[in-house]
Amino acid sequence: MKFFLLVYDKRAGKLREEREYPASEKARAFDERRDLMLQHRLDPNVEVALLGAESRDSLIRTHSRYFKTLQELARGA
Amino acid sequence: MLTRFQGDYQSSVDVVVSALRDRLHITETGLFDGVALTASSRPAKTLETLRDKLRRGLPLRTIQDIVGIRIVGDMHLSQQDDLAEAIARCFEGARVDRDDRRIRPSFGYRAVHVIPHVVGFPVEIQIRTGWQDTWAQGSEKLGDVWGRWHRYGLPPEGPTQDERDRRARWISEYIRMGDRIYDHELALNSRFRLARRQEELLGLGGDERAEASAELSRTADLLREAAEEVIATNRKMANQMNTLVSVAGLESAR
Repeated sequence: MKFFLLVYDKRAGKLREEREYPASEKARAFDERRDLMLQHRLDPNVEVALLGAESRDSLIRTHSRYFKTLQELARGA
Repeated sequence: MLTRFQGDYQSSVDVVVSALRDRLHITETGLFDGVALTASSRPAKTLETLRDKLRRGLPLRTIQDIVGIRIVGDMHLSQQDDLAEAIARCFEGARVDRDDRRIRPSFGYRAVHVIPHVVGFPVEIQIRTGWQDTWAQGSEKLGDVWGRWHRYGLPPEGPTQDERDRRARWISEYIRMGDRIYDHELALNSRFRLARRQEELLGLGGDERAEASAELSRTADLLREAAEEVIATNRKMANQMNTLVSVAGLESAR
């Protein structure tokens, strides 16, 4: 299990930043999530999400909204 | 305060992730009834989503998806049922709630949620078929641009009344799209179950096979009908997609 910290721009529908942590650095992932949330707390268009998955590909499968446009999602259907 | 509350959930989600991995082998390469499943966990919901729910008057203790796990796989509806049962069995002895949102979709959202209460906290496990997940991701994407309110049955945001009306029409057609997708999933599931039964009957030997010949013949007829139903529901789904695009176009929804 790895951890992925995403900074997502909702209005643009795109990821602004992506960080990856091995399981052993879970505490650091949480700390950095807190820092990023504080940094973006005044911007309603920014979402900071911390997710755990076996790999980035798994994450793209289960949370495609962060990685794909609506057109790409529709094409995948 | 919310951040601290989310931290309290950590051990609960860790227990659930371990149970799914060790007892059901739900990992990147795991198979359930021949279906490849993909899972990920959300150790903490975004604060914005939590605040939305609190604003709607839900007490914090009753919000079941503060932390959660999502499992997606190209499975049939009956396999989704089987997986939900298998997951619930992993937590025998604990309180396990089940929320079948295929029967009662939440403003178009369909999935099966299994919610074991582990170490004092509920952990929501979302089980989605590929079709259900694609619809849900699209709905969330719309929420990013137009506001999340349609997910609670409220009108979308927009700069003018005309624009809000246009978006409301789009969302209405999108929810209808979810209904057509579910009809198609039901037809596919019916064909899948009949095909499985046919396999079982064909696998019988000697006298048993002879006794089952009437059922085998009936199953073959039903399979032909099911295949026609799959074609029909697929066509309705495609028509609804065309309607959806004609209402506003995918381009304008980003």
